[in-house]
Amino acid sequence: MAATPIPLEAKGIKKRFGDHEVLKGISLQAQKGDVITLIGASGSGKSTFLRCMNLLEQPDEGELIVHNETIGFRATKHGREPADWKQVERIRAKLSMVFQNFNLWSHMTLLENVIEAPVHVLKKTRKQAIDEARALLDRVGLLDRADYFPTQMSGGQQQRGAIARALAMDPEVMLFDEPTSALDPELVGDVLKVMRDLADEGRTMILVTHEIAFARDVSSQVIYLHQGVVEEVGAPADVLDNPRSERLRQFLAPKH
Amino acid sequence: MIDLQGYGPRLLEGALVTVELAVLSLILAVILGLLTASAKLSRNRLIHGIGTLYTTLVRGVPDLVLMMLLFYGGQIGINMLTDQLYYAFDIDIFINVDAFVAGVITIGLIFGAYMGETFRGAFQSVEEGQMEAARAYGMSPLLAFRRVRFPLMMRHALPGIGNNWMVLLKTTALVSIIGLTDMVRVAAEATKATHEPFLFMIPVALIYLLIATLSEWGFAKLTKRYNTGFGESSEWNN
Repeated sequence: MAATPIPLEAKGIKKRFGDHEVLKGISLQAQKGDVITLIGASGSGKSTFLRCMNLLEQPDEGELIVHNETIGFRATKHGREPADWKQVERIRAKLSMVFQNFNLWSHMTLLENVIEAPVHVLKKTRKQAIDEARALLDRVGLLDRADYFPTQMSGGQQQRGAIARALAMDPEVMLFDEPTSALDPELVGDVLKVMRDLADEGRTMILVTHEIAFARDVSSQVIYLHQGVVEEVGAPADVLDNPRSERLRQFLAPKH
Repeated sequence: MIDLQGYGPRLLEGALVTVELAVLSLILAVILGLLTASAKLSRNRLIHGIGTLYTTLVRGVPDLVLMMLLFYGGQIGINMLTDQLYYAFDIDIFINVDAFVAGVITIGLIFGAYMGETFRGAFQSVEEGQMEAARAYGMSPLLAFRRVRFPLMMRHALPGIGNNWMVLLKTTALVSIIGLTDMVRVAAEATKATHEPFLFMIPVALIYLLIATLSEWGFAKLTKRYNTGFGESSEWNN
């Protein structure tokens, strides 16, 4: 029996910025329905690792396989580069990213934001895209905000809108880069609720977050990074409740 | 119709030449400006160097000198080329540098350099996160430019473009030097023949003013369009 394709696999990812090696060989495998959470102090490389997966950063070494398709690289004098940018674009369309600062396109209404990539990248018809977008906006509780511009919405609304934009691609994997870090505390809950909903529905998600309680709740796997190395990895009950290293214990300790 | 001692129709034809010249030059200048801005923001040092050389040269040499260099120099260059063709391949052609084309190219080249600076600032004013989102959703560089960077940077570029356009419009008056019959040249000829400068120069001034006023109105419309989504947040935010 043929195995179902693995949505995303990263093997031995290394990344240098100048002389500083940010990622020292990190691997990860996301099976369908997995929710993998990356935690670690700032500077541990967790966001860089996430950004390597959709090639917003180019990994210097290592392999990326998305849904059985291996991304090809070629050597240049400035280091490694994707061999075929068309392939990268195709792969990125399967890996929707949700950003810390939302990054909704500010010259478009919320609805236009959600249909933009489906229409222009996936080549759906405008009508189909709009129908799907309205259903998604309804799901994240923003149908009445469809014609608002991002500047007319709160941070929490923008982030839920950004999640609707990500869902509109019907992605293989969703990448969340500290989705609640830029939000006022009282707005975090609504965004986490939407994300929990997605996890329950069986979406494959990779998430960088500081929300440890949320990570414990929804993750199938937690990865603790320290200085570009995986220090601990496993089920949330093991990693978060029974940390083996002193460093992780200190990281998880409540801060005053 | 106003007759102006028989010069009225010719003056209107001249005004049409002015408008055509200005609009075509503007289009060329915008294209060159976008290319120049991209070149100057490029990490490739050769491309960057070409962009810098172009803007330095053009901005440092008087418009009139450049225009004559291009018009006469261009004709000499083309003659040399066609001579070579004749001797080498026995192909006999004669290309005359058209004053209108030379005018468009010169004015386009000059203002392309100024537009380049305008666009460079506007490019940089677009938040990196906006383009990052475009890339992250699988847009090709061209699509991301068309759908995201261009509409966002226009907001910042429009005041500069409007300013350049006003100066460009008036610079078209220089083309009468290379023999193009724009409205300034018609008026100058009419003044020489009739010794009545005000009769011709005041209508010319009024026509420039009319074009400028119409452009202001057009730019105000464009500014409004590219400002969509910015400002006016207070009344909606809840």
